[in-house]
Amino acid sequence: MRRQRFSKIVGILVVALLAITAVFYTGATVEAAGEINLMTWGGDFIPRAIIREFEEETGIKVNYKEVTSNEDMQSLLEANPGQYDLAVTTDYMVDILRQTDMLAVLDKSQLPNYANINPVYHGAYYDPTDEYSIPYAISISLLLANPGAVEALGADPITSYHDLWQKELVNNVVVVDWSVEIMGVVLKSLGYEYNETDPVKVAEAREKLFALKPNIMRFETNTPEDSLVNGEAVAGFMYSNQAVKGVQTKPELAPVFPTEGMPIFIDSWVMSKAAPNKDGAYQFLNFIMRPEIAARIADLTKFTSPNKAAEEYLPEDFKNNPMLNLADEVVENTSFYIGVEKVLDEYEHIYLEFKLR
Amino acid sequence: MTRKTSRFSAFYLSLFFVILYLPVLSVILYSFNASPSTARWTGFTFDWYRVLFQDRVIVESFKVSIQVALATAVLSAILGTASAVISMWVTERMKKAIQGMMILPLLVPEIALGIALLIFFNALRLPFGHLTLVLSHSLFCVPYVYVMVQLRLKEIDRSILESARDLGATTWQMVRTVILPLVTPSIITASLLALAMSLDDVIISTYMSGPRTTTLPVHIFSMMRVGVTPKVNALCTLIMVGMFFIVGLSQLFNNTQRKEGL
Repeated sequence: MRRQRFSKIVGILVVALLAITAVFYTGATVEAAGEINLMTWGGDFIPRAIIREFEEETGIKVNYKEVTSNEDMQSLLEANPGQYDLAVTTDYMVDILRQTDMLAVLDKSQLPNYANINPVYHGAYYDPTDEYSIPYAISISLLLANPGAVEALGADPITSYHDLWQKELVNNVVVVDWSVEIMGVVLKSLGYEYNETDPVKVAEAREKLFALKPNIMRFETNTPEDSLVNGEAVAGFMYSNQAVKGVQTKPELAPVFPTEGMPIFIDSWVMSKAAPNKDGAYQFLNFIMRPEIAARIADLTKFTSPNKAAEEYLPEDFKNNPMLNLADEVVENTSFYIGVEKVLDEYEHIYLEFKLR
Repeated sequence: MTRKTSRFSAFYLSLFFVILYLPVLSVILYSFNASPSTARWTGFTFDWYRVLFQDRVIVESFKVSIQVALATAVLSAILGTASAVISMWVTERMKKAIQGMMILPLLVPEIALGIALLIFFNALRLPFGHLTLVLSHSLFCVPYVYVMVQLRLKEIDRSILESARDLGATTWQMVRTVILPLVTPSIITASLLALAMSLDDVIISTYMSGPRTTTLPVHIFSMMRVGVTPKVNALCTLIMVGMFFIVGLSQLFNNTQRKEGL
């Protein structure tokens, strides 16, 4: 009996070992010449359908490495620069990678479709000369309001952050739950910039922030739009994709581009300095900047496209949605969160005080 | 009096489990919600499950996860058991040393371990993919197998080993015919644990997977930028059902082993 069981175990082990070797064998295939490795957020951030079309057209295979944070991309790129050709990473990380000399200068002569990029996105702080990055996916934060309900409460229509402080809105405002964003709202409402470090201005913002407390009904990062859909809140500060969902579910809701300005997030393509297949990478970048391809990417991912020429190929509902097809005036009124690490501790502290009130 | 206490503890326990499992239940519930928003219940649907199985990336990364988890379970079972059995014959001091070295990977923050392994495997020029995933997952799974097998070994009556020795068994025969059969239930339970832990890991997997391999948890976490759709609820529901099945299986196995009078 025992003996039998033992031979059974040995059998299982042998089979398993064989399985492992088989698995290793497939894992260790040598990289083919016609391949590019790209790395970015997962899901369908770079739509698989578009990648397949590129593969069919050029015969170049695209490997898509999914990562969960910008910092992961940084570590992976620094540890092994020759492993990846392209990455899509968020604004501030482009700045870091550029300054640590990880990125290749892009040869624009190989990228004729670069001319399609809207000039309003040129010269951002993370790449002032546009040598290292190509914008890909854009989103903003903004206010979402229920104008009818705001009026019913006797408050003035909401056009700016400042309007959120109206006493009629008590217990009727939902906001995303992040210190830097909320401090940003307050700073902007005072006419200051994001991530202000001047102690006098920060102290002023702190007082104004505390005055907002009675109006906040919920802090919610994942689905703030639901509070407006349910009618629990009449106004909220959230990311544009959430506001888009909110309006889809409840058409009475309306986006408000606050007059003081909004935060913007731009994810951009960058090329590793040691990219093993630069030629393939250029072909890919050029492919996704084709107007009709860029339009389809925008529609599939629901991110704003920086591709000006893509506009005429956008489906009607996308083109007519002011939160997705951002007007140039809106983009000009946006700014980045720069130097978060310098203010994070201080803002977190103030924010905690605020939440505990 | 005792009646009162038992009623209170029953109440406390039910409250505990309700709080623990209510979020899980809500995920299962919403995986059948027709509306993609969690704000409203608009009707019952199997659509998300259909969408889930059509998603090639999810299916592919699930395959990778399962392959890696199975290989990890086997590899860590072998290594963990071997080190536990070997530490029966070494000096007390050596045993302490082995134990310390075993626990170390569990104490190092995962992110540090991930980056260290990334640099190490890179220096060895190992291709990132299944191989590196299995090796790194085994690194944090072996200690669990080691601890569980060792606990079982402690319970073994030394006199059985002595009589085996008296009857002329070599050390290898003793291991094979006496020790291994006695610890098999622990090995199996431990490998199931290793299986679950490997399936679960995100941080180390992010660093250890190559450009062609993505594991399921990494795929799900990396969707944050794009937004998570309800098909992930459906996926979580299926994974939970699978996990309950595995845990149930290991419990069942343990129970039958106990009843056999080991």
